[in-house]
Amino acid sequence: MIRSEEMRARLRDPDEERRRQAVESIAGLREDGALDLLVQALGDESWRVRKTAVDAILCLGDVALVVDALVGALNADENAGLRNSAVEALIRVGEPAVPALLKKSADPSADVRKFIIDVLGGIGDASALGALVEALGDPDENVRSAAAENLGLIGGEDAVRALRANLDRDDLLLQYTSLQALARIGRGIPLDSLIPLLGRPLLRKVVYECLAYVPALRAVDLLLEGMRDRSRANRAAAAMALVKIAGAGPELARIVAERLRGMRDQVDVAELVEDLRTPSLNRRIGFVQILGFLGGPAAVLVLLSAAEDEGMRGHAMDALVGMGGEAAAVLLERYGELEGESRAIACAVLGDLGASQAAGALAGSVDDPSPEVRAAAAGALGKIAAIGNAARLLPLLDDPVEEVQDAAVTALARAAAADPSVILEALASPDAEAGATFRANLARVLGECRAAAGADALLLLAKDEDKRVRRSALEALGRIDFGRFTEAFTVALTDECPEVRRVTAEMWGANHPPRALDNLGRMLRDEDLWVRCAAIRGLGESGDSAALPVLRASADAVDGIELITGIEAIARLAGAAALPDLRARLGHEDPEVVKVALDLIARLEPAAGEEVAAEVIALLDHHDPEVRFAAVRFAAERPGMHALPAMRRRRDEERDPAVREALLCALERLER
Amino acid sequence: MSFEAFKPNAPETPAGEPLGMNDEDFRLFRDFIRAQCGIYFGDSSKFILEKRIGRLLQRHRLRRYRDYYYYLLYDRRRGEELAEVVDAITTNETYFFREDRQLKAFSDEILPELHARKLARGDRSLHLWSAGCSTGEEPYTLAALILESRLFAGWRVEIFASDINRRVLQAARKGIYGASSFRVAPREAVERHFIEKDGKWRISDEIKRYVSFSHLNLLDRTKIGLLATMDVICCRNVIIYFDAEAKKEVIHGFHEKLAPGGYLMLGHSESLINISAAFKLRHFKNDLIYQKPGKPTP
Repeated sequence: MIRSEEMRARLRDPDEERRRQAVESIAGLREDGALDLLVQALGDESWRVRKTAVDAILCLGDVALVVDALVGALNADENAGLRNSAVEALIRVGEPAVPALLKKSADPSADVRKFIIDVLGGIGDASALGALVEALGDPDENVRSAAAENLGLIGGEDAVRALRANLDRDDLLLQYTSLQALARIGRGIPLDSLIPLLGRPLLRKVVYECLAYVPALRAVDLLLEGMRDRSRANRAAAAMALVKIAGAGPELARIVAERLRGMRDQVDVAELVEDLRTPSLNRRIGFVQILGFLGGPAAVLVLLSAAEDEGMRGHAMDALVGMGGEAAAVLLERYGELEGESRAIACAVLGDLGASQAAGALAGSVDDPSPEVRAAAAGALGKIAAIGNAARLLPLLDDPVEEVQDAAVTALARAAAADPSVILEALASPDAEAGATFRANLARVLGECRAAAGADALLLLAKDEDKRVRRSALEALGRIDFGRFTEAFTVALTDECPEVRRVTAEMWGANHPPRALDNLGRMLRDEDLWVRCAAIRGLGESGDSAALPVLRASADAVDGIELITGIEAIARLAGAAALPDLRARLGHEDPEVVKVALDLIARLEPAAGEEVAAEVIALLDHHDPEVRFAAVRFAAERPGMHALPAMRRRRDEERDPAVREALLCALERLER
Repeated sequence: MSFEAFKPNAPETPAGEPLGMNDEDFRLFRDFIRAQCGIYFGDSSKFILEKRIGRLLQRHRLRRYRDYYYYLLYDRRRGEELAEVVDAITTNETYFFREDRQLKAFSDEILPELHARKLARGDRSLHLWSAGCSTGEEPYTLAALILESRLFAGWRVEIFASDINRRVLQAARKGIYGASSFRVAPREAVERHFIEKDGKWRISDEIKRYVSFSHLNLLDRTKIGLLATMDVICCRNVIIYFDAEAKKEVIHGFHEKLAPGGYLMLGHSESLINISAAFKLRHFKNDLIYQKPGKPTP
């Protein structure tokens, strides 16, 4: 029998952490009386204690008893914390709680009925639909409203039908909540049902929200009218709905844009600028899209400014690009006045618009003091394929800021794709005094444009004094054609820099041409650990079964990360035939090796055989808690392993909280 | 690869500096180094070893050689540290166009012979290995001679240049040299293959293209196995630093790597007497050079 009084006293301890620990202790006792104590803890003043109590209750086995106790707790009208925790716990119990909740749905207390409706909605089980529909006729208006709201959460045809029926009732709160719920479900409602409701100012906002799901021209017109509504909230709702309709397809987007542009003079851009200050990012994005549809010089500048907010940048830039030539003209006209971030954004937009008339302005910005501008100008020049400006871009390969270098690499590669001869000529004969960063980036350009004509320059760069240059050159040669340059890749396996050898070994593995097996086998004896690991992985990826004996011999001679990489490679190459190799590692002294082996076995053999089962059951008593945790997880997913007795015994002995929790949950699942 | 002139270390041990290397420490380091890379320090070279290892002790703030020895044996980063030891004990002083007569034999006799032999087989590739290439003067000299012979235009010519010392490889890749590297180099060759700037000379890209550098221990047969079969191996003034066993092993490795009929160019003070009977000594007009017997495979 549980030491109830002692536990009750511990639950009254003034120290929050002691009470929380008491809750954990009660959960571990699994005796009669534990449930009552845990329900009591659900009403604790500390949210930490309440959260632990919810978790603990959910680990108790008897769902029926748990649900009864939690439903009972909903009556505790003097303790909001207890009720809320009970609601949370019931929602987490899920579908098994539904029958008990349905029995209580006619509780005399309107508060309890409302809580039950909320829980049913939170669970979202379709079997609760009938009760929710019935609750639409509840004598209490809050219960009716909650029923409508939760029908919106569950959704489905029946819910829509019931909610639509409410629109004809003379019950403003219910109409409002039903419209909200219908908007949430996002199903189109016949315009005939919605139009009459526009006559009721209090419902207009939610009607506009519903119109968002009616992809019809009439709906567009109603919403355009809504954008001139006297209420600002209604105007904003109409604008958001228009954005949603425009997202339904390109034709609707074109119509919305065209009609909004037609009423540009009637829309107050200044108000939209203010709307952009709303804390809701989604709404800000919507207003940005409206501005994009409206167009005009004022909108261009507002959007340029909006793009400085990182959360909206992509949308504002899309809106500017969507405005086309009009945006390009305004941005170019104002380009000289822009600086820093806004100039960088203007560059990017001009590039996305392919505004070749901006080439001069962009080329003039590649030496802007702001790295953001330099990067954006380089990116834009690449996009408009301004080949004549390649020479202006070249110095950026040596820019002190990596992002600028990256942009220049991409831009030059794009330009080279448009006209390789002009660019390659400039790239293939770099200044002999160029720095290592420049040379490394040059190699990247040649690799990115995959131009075979750049191979000679790359072969020379692969012999460079700087390891970053050699690495970049080799990667670029690999992108052009690994098989054509195997001699260079073989020599690179003897490079003095381990990083170069590692990358090269990875490429041998990824391309596995003839000799890959021999070369990677040799790299297993490299002095650098990570080169050896790359070679092991490469052999695993070769798909050549001749690599298996090499990998097995290697795995027998190594430990740590090499062994882990080795057994992963063997599993990859041999599939189910790797099972003996993996089982042999279940007894390895390194817990990491054991865990990886167990994980690989789980993937290779979904239903554990008798011998594997016995070996995994033995791991339940492993000295390392991580291994025990992995073994519990393995057993929990395989009811056929007959691991229940061992798991029950382990549950009684286990001291590690994470393993113990995993055991409790696994046992609950398996026993059920 | 060659060693700096011997300069004995001053026998002072102020606080913070390493204590002297005793005979037992010397024996431990000598055997350790020999096992790792074949280089052998005779008793008379104890002071060289003491001086060069001593710098590494100071870097690790160690005072006892024995402690550094244990560091090399047991530390997690012992692999990297071993590379430091190798860099410290091997120094490398060489120059362009060294050993004129041998190079004359190479360009006037060996290259034409190889050209004719390969052409007859329809093989238009040439592979050379400069083993122990130091700062790159030797492989670049070979490349210049091949280029000047005009025999191999349009051929695939690869000169693999290897050394165990990473620092010299870095210098070799850079390819920038001071006046001392050109003490015997013909002026016209320097003007043809180098670009002068601020009193230094940079090797031309045309020559650089021929040469690939590798970090290799000549006793590491596994890594050597990665290299292609060679037509010529040039290993001059390197094996003199190895003990007899290591010499045999290195030469055996060269024999394996050479194509039948391939040539082995050693330094003038080096010979294969008591090391290997697997090569024959060819009497060229300009020099004596070892050759692997056997007919080249068709």
